[in-house]
Amino acid sequence: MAELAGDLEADPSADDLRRLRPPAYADDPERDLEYQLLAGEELRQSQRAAIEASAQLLDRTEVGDEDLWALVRTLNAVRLAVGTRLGIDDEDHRRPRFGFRRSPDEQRNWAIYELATQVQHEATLALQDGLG
Amino acid sequence: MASSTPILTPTETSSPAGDEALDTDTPWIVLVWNDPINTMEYVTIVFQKLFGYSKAKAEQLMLQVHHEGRAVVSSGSREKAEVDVFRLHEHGLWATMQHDE
Repeated sequence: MAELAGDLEADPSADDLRRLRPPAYADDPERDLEYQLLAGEELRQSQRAAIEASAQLLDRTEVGDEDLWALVRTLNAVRLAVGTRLGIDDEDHRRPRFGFRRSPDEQRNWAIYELATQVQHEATLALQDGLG
Repeated sequence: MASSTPILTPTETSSPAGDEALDTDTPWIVLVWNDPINTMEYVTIVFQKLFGYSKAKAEQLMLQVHHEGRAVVSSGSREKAEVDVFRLHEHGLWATMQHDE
């Protein structure tokens, strides 16, 4: 999470963060540029705030719905960034079976991706209970 | 007292309708597009949270995104659509807006 916050601050235009800054006007580049100039920084600030809120949860024993939302948003952002690095672009994405063929970086990224997925799943179930 | 300088009076003229008129008359729709990384359960609760949809409605829209590649999740003025798109982007969903055709 800290790495993602650092990346958003240092180089928000990095390729592995592209899923975190999608276009609003897909068919109108001029309007979208205007939108990105107005809303882009606000979006990054919102993402960084969610990351900070999530990091503080690690020291707490009780969390509320607002905290869980910050957590699932952050975990989703981690999954989007790491998933992009892993080249995930279709529905059938699973960790490659033969670990010894993967580089250390790839193994690390898969571990992060799968952990984030599991924790997000549990937090999502908790939120779903509250939504009914 | 008579004046030798011309008197200018304003008159109404019609101007061609530009984007502003189009923005006012034609509603905008917000689309959410499929992305294989966002989980179905996450997309569902985001729809429930942001738009107040029931779980059933949110799941229906989520499945439409999943199977058809996209779904219309809200509509309204350009300003409303931009707010909805921003909130969806905050939650990591791929959302765009366009005129309702």
